[in-house]
Amino acid sequence: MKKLFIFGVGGTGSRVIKALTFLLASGVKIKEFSTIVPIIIDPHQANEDLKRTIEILRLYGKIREQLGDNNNTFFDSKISTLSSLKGSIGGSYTFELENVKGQKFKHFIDYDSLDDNNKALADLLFSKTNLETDMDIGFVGNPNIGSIVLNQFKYSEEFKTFANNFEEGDRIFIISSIFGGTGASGFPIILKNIRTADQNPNLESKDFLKNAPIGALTVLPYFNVEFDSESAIQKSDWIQKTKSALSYYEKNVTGNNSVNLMYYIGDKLSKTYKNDPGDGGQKNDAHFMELVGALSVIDFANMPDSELMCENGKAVDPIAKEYGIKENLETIDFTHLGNKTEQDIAKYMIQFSMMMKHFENHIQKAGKGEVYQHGAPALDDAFFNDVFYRDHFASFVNYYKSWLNEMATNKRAFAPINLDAPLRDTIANIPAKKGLLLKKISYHRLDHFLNTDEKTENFESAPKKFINLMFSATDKLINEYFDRYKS
Amino acid sequence: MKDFFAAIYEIFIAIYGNDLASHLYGYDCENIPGDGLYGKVGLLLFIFTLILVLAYYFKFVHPGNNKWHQLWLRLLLLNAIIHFLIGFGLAYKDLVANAICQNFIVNVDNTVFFGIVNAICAILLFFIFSNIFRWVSTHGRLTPYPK
Amino acid sequence: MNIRLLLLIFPILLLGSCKKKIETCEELINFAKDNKGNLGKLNDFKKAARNFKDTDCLPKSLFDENGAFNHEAFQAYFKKPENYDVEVVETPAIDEINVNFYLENSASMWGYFKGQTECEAAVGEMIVDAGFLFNEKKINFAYITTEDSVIIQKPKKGFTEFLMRLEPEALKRGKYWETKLADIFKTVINNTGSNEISILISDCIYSLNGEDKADYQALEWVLIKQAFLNVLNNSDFSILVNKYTSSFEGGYYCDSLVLRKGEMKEMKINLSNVKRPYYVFVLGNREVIQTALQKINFRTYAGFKDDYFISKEKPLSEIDYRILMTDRIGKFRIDRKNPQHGIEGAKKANRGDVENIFGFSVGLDNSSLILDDNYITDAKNYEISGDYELEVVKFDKVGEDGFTHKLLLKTSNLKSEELNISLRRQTPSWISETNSNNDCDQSGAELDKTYGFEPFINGVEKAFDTALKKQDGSKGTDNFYTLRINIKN
Repeated sequence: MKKLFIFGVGGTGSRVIKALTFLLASGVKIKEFSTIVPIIIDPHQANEDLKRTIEILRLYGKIREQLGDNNNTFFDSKISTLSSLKGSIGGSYTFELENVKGQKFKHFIDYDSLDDNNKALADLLFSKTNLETDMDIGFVGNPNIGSIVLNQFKYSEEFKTFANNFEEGDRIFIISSIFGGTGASGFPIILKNIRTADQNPNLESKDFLKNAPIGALTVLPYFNVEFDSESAIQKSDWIQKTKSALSYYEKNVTGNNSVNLMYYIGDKLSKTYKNDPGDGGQKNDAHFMELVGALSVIDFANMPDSELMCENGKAVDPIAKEYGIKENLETIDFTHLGNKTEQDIAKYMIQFSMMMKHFENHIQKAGKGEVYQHGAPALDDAFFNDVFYRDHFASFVNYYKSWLNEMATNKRAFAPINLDAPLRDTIANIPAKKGLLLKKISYHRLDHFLNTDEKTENFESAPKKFINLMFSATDKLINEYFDRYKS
Repeated sequence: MKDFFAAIYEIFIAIYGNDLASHLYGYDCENIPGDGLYGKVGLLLFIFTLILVLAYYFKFVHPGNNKWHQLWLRLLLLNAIIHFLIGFGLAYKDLVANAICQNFIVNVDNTVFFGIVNAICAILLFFIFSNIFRWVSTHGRLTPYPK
Repeated sequence: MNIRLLLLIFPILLLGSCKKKIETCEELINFAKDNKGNLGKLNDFKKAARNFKDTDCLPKSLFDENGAFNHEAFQAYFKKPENYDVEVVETPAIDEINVNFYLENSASMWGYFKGQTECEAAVGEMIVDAGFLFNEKKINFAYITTEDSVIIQKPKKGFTEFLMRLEPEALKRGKYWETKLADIFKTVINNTGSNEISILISDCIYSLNGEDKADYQALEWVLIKQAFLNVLNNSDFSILVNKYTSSFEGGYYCDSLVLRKGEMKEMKINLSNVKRPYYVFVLGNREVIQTALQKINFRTYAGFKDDYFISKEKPLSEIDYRILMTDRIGKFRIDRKNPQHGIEGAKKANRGDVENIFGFSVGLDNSSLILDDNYITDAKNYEISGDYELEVVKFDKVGEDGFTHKLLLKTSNLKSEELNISLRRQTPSWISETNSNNDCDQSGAELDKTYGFEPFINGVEKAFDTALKKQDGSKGTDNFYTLRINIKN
């Protein structure tokens, strides 16, 4: 019953969490941790990415609710909100920053009521632009603002709830970007607050919280924004800011052994985005880098306890990791990833994609009324019109598809799966096997495995049956037609 | 066994006639019953149809061809044609070989009709076996019923 | 998998048959032994026996020269297969049979031999045929009138010539003035060995010797009956009565007594240029007679009129008969549970001039009955339990199934029933027709008759009946056989 708490700070945080959600939906296994608790910290509530991520998390939760535990299929891991850990329904995946809505920074620090000396100090530390910044949209690349505002974290209810629910054996992972505003400032604050939890009057003393195994992901620059003189966000500042953040980390993060396992990822090749800081903006296409970020979460979760020991709030043997791919190509797919990555995620993602294709092209068309749909619990019209299938599942699938499409059209493009291609070309660079005695791959073949599997098992509910059968049937289909992923 | 098949075929006796029926039962001119053809035709019907249905439900049927009007219907018709030929052929062979007692009034029509009766029985039997074996078939459980 | 298992069983099922087949000679013979005498199984036996035609399994005598069944032999074999095992044939070979001719030479007989008569021709031909068909050396001829007046003739020039030249004077031998029919029969019967047949030629006219005819005859009849009973006690004796007519010239003694030469004697009537009846009795064991009759046919001789075969023959409860598929009016199917004798699904014809009629035919084998064809084909001699019209037709040729006749039955009153068809056993009408109660009447009609013939024959019949009753306690039946046909509509 171990839990993995993931703090996703800033836009990057929520996007990595989104990628992780899709991986978990595909059935990727996080071995020891039955529950994942994402806590997203981003004052930019109107952030489209954040909204999307939250919606995806909500749908995941709804779907998972219908499936229950111990399925060993898609949606295997449980993703829970912080408050629902104690049994209350609902709750939020985000940490709501106070006094941020509709406020300029100078009001936050009560600049106007400062005496002259303090005002002068403030002027030294913060630029005019900084002081006039509307915090609704995050700290727009200014970690100096962020670090002030985010300090409220240690007094918050959320932190308290988190600390109360943290048990021995649980782990913590913090995701942030180094070039952003929220991420760069938030990460060290959270880290410090956890490691000094015993000194926090707000909390009941928790020794093991301060010695918790903590992993962190720092995402280095991997995308561009267009030059816009009017915008508060400037790419040219990023490199500078990265350097200064890294040097801060050297002292207060990595240098003082606060983190057990530190992940660094970044990329040279980059896409240029529209420079839109504001409301409704920063809707960035999903990027391969976020998926790599999710891989780091998985890697961290699968590390043995012995490698993540702490003493006195300090990591005993801190480790740092990086990520590489096999070939430096503009467009990559599964064949260009390391063997371990391929093993960990490829087949699952392919399975999920096949399920999606079957869902889109076949199940309610030529495949309607097939034998596996018939047995109890029936996958009949009632099921197809029910909220599980028609709303939750269908919407989730749409998001997943967008995720894949966005990654495929991004720079560097990650296009392992051809969603619109015929079934035999689903996997990029790996066509389906053909043979004299082998029937051609088709949705009917998938139905074949669905029928065979349905015959041998009993299911408690239609959603369970649907998801379980899809998982096992796609697994068999891949085994039959794609030797590379045979298991 | 011959009597079992005779009883079934002779539900339709009015179609192919009493005299051919007597011959098929095996009667010669002296009303001494020999083996007759009912046994052979019936056994072939039973076994061949059974094998065909089993082959369909356990080997040939797959999602993609498991609608009633696809392979199932074709096999049903093929079965009917084969058994028409068996019934007609064996009876006709006896007719032209003068193996039928002269006192029995049998001509080609009767043999053709017997072929037709055998085809009808083939269709019915195919249908019955389908309904029995579909329940243990992985992909054919709903064939031949429209979904 | 299911399919493979079925493919294994399939050939076995196909080849196997539900009915036990007779495949070896031993099985065939055992079948005959197990079912012997059961004529219902005879057909099954015949069918199986076909397969053994060319083998040594069955005695050759069962098949004729062309390899077809010899039906009498078959039936005989089937009745007693054990005997055939050791090739012991009950009926003697033809040339082992002794044939004894007895010619009654009393005065009333002389008229049949005056000049050239049919009687001479007929009897002469009989002897010739006998000599040819049997062993010539085994033919014997004797005159007979009484027990002690049996005079054997051995003509040097052969019997034929002897007979052709025979004139009444030659008959004046022995006690020619007496005729004791009882004696004659007794003598003839007692002298007929198991391997012999006796042929008695007589006019069956009693010599009353002055005594009252009625009393005398009664006594005679008792004595004759006794003679038969004795022999019937321990053998299957039988008698074939043949009536012939011949031209007659001479004295005829009728049943009135008149005074002649100081004594009461029969009235003598002189007849000339008339035809008078005389009788040829063939006596012997039934099987010997049947064997002989296969060769010699008394109906072919000059002047033959009628015949009547009397034997201790048990009324046949089963003879070989079967429903035929020819001559059908309307529709029916053979009843599978009773394929020889059962009909089901019977329906009347609904078109044409046979509308509303149902008809079928039954083939049967009458060869074991020695009956006049006229008798057999006379529908009046049959009794039918249902409302059916009967016509009896003789087959021109006896086919492979051995049927000699077929019964054509028709009705407009079709219903489910068990139809019993019986051939009544009756004294042929010719017996009473040939009987006269007053043979002194010289009118034409009486000339062809014989006084007291009917009671005489009835007496003989009673003897046989009595013997039959004693033999197996049966009441004797009035039928030769009863066929049972089951009809379901």
